[in-house]
Amino acid sequence: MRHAYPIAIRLVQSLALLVCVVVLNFLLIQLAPGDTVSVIVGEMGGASPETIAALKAEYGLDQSIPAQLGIYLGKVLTGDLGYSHYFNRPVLGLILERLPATILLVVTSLILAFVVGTALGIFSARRPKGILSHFVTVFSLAGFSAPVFWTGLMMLIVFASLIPLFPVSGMADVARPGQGLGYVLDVLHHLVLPAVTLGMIYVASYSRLSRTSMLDVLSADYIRTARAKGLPERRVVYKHALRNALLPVVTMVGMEFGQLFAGAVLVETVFNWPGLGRLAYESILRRDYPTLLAILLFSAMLVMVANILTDLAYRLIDPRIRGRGR
Amino acid sequence: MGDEPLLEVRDLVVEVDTGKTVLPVIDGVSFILAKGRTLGIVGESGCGKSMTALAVMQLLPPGFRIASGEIRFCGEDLARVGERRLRALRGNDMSMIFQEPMTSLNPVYTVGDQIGETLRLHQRLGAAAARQRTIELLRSVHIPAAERRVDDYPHQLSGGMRQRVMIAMALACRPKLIIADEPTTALDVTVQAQIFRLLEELREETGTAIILITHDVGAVAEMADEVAVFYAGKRAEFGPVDTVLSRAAHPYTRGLMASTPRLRLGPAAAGAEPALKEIAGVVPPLGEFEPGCRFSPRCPLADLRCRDVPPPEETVDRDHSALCWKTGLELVA
Amino acid sequence: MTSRSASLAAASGPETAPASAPQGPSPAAGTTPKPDRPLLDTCRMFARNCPAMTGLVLLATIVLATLFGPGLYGVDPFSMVDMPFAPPGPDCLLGTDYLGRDILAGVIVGGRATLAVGASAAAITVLIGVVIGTFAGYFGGWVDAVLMKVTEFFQILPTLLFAMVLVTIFSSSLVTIAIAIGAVSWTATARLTRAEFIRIRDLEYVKAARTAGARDFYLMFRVILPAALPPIIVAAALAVGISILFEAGLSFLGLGDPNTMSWGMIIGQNRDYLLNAWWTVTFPGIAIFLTVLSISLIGDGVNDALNPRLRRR
Repeated sequence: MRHAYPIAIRLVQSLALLVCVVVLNFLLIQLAPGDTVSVIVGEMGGASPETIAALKAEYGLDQSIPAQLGIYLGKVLTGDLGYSHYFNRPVLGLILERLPATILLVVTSLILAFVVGTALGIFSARRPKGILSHFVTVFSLAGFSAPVFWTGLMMLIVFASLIPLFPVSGMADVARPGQGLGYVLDVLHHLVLPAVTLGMIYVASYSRLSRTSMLDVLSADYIRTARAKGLPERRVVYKHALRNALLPVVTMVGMEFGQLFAGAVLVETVFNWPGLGRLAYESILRRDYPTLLAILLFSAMLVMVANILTDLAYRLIDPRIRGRGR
Repeated sequence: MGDEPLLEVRDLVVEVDTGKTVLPVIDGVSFILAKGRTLGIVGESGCGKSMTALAVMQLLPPGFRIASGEIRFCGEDLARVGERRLRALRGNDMSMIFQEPMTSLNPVYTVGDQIGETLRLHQRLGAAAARQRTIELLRSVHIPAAERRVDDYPHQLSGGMRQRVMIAMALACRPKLIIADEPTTALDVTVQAQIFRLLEELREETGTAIILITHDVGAVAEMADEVAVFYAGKRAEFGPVDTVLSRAAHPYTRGLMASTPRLRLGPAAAGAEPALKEIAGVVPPLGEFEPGCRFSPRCPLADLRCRDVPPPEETVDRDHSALCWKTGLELVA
Repeated sequence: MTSRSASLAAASGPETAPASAPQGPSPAAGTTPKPDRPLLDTCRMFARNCPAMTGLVLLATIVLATLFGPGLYGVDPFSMVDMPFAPPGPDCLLGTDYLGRDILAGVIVGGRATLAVGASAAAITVLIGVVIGTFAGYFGGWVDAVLMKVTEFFQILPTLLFAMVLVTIFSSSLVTIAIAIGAVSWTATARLTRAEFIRIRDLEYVKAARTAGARDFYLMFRVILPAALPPIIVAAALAVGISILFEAGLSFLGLGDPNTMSWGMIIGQNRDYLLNAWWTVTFPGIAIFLTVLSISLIGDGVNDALNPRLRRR
């Protein structure tokens, strides 16, 4: 397979970057006020010096900083991301439990934004002076300027309170049985508002980008060639222009994934969506550093996976990139 | 001369709307092309050559439109047949080869797909048959290892190879007319000669009529039957290629010929003659023409009348005419 | 904008340029460009741009309101002036919050922190981005490779989350918030600056300056950087808008400076009651929205004025 080699390079590079994130995490823990032991001691309501010393030895706090870093790296490699004293359980389990909800939200928003955004952009590019085109211009400005958490709150006021179409918060109705088709529909019902809120900013961004890109492509020489062949306009636009016009949008999706994830923190907080973002908010309130830093690590990992997927997608639609590293 | 005109362009006027004013890009151009013949259109950049080609294909860019005149192809007025009929003609009965092979092919589809698309559309070939025919076409334009190249993407081919692909695409449905718009301008000199030779060869094989747009008078001398010289949106001179090139009536035509070394000396001695008479100046911008002859500011023979009164269409010889007050002076210059 | 797109397409049509299509078709370039007074021309182009001027007026109004509004309105945003959740009415124009504090006073005063943090965070963003981009783009080679790896590293950290971590660890004050926002959002500016430097560094006049014996620092900051400024200015305007959204997000999450009123903080503190008291969250949000909108409009206008031949992205 032609894509295998460059993708392998990407993977190795990504792993190196991930190690850097772990090191960064370690440094941030060092900088954070209070170490693990003093937190535990605080929870215990005080302890004897012997107990404290024993605890310090247990957590490796009596060793040098580089040695501690080694211990920390080793722990992370074996999946030990620390212990959350607020939630009273290992951080890894906590995160894995919340991860699916975040992925569901982010991926739904992304698909929504990509499909709606590019569709708006491409339709409006076909009539650059039409109403839709002006709508895209205005909407993209508004979408960029509205803070996502505020959009979410306004959505709640309008679609959960004034017109009670959707639930106010959470991911599923607690009163309902947690299985079967009913459960899936219930989750989807809860998903609508958060996904639309998060997707809206990116609908704005992609519609503007794809509109410009489509306008560019439509004036390209190869589009004239396609018309000179006698192809119907639909084929000219949807076969010859679309694929080229999507390239910058795909690049943008990859580049903005980190921001999309960051937006999820706010949206999850607004809608009480039980994902990593909401967990981050909760751990900030409790000053639960191990959890917070583990979320940072996991989200960096998610961004990387998204980047690699974007890269693959780009290779699939642009033959010029194939077989070459980027 | 051929018996029945394949393409007849009469008094064509193409205008561009700049947002502020409407300016004529092509101003009253006429010519006739018979079946199987080759018409050369020569002139500097910006004289309306490509616009004429795009007007014939009815593919003018946004902002440009045909204001008046007629374009008859096989008797049909192309301005009136409607988009559906035009699509049936384009790529099938008339096709076009563009100036920029580097950008005229879609980068994200294989050349086989792009050529085969025409065959599937107009000749209703199935995928396998279209592919087979595409390979034959690539062979006929002398692309080596055609059965492998068919799956290449444009970026994997050199400029000359891409132009061959464009030619294969234009030839796919054996059109009655091919318009080649400066097909070699973007290519190396050695490749240019190959492409011209290929066009010549294909014309002999298929009997298609060609409009060859170029500023290379030498290529026209070798390939064309008739020649039209364009200057600033006007047809300055028109006639059989032998007559026009041996007894050019318009000072502009003579200037063009004088700046074409190989016409006089052969390709081998290109550049050997020290002083070629270049035409001084440049084509004036749209809308800034003299009231009289548009060439008069650059013309060595121009006088007051040339500047103030538009020149008449002078018949120099049978089928040979020029838009000039001074055609009588041809032998003096 | 639309008329320009049509004429641009016309100008890029085959064979018209350059001889037969004068620069004229683009109404933007209608006044023959005077290269000797580019700044004046840019300002004139900007002044003719209606949305951009609207943005400028709007932003000026907001800035003036936050600067002089508190003196004129004279209600302490932290004091309880009425019963909690008083709806908008003659006493409190925009109602009161869950503690009975005046929302209008909060909105007027809250703009100070938001604007100050937004502007200084954007300055930090541009400073870091330009310095890193300048060195990477000018020197190339291993310097570029290392700096781009660093940039890539920062790009994989979700910006807001990273800023949240920084603020949590280093305590919330306006200064740490501004630094945290700047520290997480410089990557785009760095890439942009680098790309501009790579484009410009091999141009003839730069080579000439180099041949004339100019030093690296002189070339970087006096020769190349001025030429690279137009897109950086546009990016800087965007950065202000993004920083304001960041600050609002952090304050909303309760990570703002607890002693300073800000728009995001009002929304965050009242969000649990939004279904009963919509005004508590709606008005501060509108303030954020209008501020960022005005800055986006200005940014677009500057972009159009600096690149008359290009349309907005």
